[in-house]
Amino acid sequence: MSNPVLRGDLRARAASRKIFAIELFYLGVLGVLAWLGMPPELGAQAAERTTSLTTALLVVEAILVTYFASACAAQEIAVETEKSPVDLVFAPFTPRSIVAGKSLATLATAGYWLLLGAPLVALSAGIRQDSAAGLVSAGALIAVVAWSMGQLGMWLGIAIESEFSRTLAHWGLLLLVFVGTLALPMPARTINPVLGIAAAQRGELPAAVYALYVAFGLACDGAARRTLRRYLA
Amino acid sequence: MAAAPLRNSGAGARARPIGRALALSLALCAAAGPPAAAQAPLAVAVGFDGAVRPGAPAPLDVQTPPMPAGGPAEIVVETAALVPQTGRATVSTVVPFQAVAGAVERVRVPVVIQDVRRPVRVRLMLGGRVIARAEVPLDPARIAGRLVVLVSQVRAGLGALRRVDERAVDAYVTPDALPARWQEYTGVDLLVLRDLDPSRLGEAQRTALLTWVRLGGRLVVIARPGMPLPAFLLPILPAHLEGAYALTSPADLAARFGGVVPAGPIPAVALVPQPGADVARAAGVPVVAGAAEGDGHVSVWGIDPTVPPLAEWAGRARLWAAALGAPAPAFVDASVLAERLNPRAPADRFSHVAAGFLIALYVAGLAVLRRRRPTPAGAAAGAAVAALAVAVFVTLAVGARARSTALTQVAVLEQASGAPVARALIVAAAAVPYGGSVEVAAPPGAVAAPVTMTGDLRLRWRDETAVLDGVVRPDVSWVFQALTAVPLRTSARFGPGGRTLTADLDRAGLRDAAVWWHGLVYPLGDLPAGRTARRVPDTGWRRAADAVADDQSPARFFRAPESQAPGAIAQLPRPVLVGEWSGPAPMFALPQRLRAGRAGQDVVLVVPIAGPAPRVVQP
Repeated sequence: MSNPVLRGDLRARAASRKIFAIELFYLGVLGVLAWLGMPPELGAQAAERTTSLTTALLVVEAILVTYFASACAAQEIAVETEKSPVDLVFAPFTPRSIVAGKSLATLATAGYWLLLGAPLVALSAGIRQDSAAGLVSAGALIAVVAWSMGQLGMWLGIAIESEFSRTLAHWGLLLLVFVGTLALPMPARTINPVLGIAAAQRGELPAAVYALYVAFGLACDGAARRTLRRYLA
Repeated sequence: MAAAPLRNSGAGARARPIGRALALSLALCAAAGPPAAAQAPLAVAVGFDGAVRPGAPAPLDVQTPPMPAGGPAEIVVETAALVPQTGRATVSTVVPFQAVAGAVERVRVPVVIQDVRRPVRVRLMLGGRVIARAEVPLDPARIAGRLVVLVSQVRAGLGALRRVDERAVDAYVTPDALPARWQEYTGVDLLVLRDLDPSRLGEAQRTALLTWVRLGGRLVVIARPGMPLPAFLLPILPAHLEGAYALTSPADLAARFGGVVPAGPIPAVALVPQPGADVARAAGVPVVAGAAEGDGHVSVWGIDPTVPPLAEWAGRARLWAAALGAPAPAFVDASVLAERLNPRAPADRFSHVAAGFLIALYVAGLAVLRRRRPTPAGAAAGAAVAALAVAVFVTLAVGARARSTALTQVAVLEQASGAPVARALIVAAAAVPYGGSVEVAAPPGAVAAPVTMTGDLRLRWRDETAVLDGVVRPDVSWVFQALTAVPLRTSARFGPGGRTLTADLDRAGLRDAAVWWHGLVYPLGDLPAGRTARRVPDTGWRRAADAVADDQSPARFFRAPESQAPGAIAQLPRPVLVGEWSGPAPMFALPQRLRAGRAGQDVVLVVPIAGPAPRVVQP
């Protein structure tokens, strides 16, 4: 917590009405899904369907957490009193500490939201005896994906001034990650977060996928720093 | 299927031979087993002298090598079973024991072998590590349609059985190999005791033998000159011995069983039959006496057709045929009982409402907290609330699962005729709407096995109780059965003329009671506990086919497999009294934590009716 950017962002997000509304919306969606998913669906394909209910909950959680975390980082959702990296670069902060602070704030936000959603996932998973290790693995993947997409959003927020273009690029890249990767041949297709969550739940996701998203996040981190330095040049 | 295993701790020093089958299996294991097994061989004997009957409980005897160390150990026996849709599944029977360093352990584990094409695999685990293993293939020639077991020092004498029934398989065993659980005899059609030293039988083995006979087993005791009959069998034997003598020309024996009796002298023992026994004489002397005992049949032979000169006698085939009898039809079929259970496991409404309330409370609580404290400390408090909520929601999930678990079961008690024991077949169906693993404890002392396999099954013994552990699918209930004997003394008898039925129902009454006789059913209504008499006129009888169609009547459990017609109950040679019993009966149980689940159970009692047959006017 020695990073002043991180401290400031966490304080801003804790007090933000928008973040409050996002959390209520997120928990509301997860709560309704968890509650509606309680009655078993008996039928010919019931085994497959009931197994996927927890997975469905995790996928929804991944989409919401990833979108909101990256949208906040890209300033598509402007959090009250939270300064953008470009604003901070003219304050006495180095690009390195700005990017590190923003990066950690995104990670903390994604982790916090995952923690808030954990009881609802636990209800769905506990009733179906889903593996706890699988849930932890899937949760870790969601956190890594959300953080790396947040890093991407941060870079977009720094690199693209136009709000419309930035939003377009943000949505386009999110669609590319969540939908476009489905067009990849196997085994590259496993980088798709939806498929990855299902595989992680089964304990079958290769560590390379986690590493890929971490590397992508670090690359965005480096790109954001370089772009910020241009403002100082 | 498996009954409580018997262990003989530290049996190395006093280990007794357990028959040729054990040696044969040891050789097979040594030859076929992997290197680990070669280093530490497990001696495994399956069935009676290697003979098994598919689907019936068979004894499995495992003798370990000297244990390399002490500590918690277990024997794991894996048998293959066929599963619809998914192919094969494995039933693992696990017998835990406390190993003592240097000691040899002997474990008896009754198992049911469904898929005889697959070998039986046995592992010895110590501290979670496999220290020995064996793989015992089953000899196709030893898969019995009908199984005759001879306890004898001589491995010969049953050759004539093939002429009696080509499906018959003979097995020669020593007294040590006799089961200590009556259920292990289930696959045996005839047990012949020739050289039985009673001192080599334990109390459990004696009780098992007596119980099996009273519940329908067929036993022949061959009396040999100069050797007394086993004392523990005297209460059920239809004759006692008078003295040895030599037969010379037993024409009456030939007249009764056919063939030319070889020239004498033939060593024989004269019998003194009990009243009512069916007697065959040789030269005017009783040498064969047979009588029913409970639902079974016991014979004493004063002649020995397993050794010369009578081993060459052609008439011995009829003697064996009479002893073997006709195969008894299964009174009730476990698969039919399973069909009639119709378990339903809807989601528990209380859990659903509670979950909705708690979800709303959680979201609203977080909203209030974050609204009142819009600071990082408030967020931290929210995180603490979420962590607490995880514990609450997991508890709710476990409770919802338990409350949605349904265990539906039926126990059919068949009172043995004139014996204070009843055979109890319990069939239960467990349904969990969410699928997943289920654990069910069989009644203490019962033999338990799956009726329908939905996947791999683990059967773990805890003292005298088998705990079945398997994974159920959400759309398929898991059906299993248990076989046990319960002490019960009920009786029924028709008075002279077959018009008045007197029943003694012991301590509990019978609901929806009815007399079944030759495909017809006479409804009696409810009968009270104790002695009661009812008039049974020759009119008012229903067709059994109509009775079994009634889903509210206990008759629904007596349909033929995959049919709407009545099953074997319609062909019984004697009338029976059937009704819903309100007395205690052995049942499967869910573990303590799942006791909140729904449980439905029926107990059907079947009492054979003695005396003259009723008079019936066909409906």
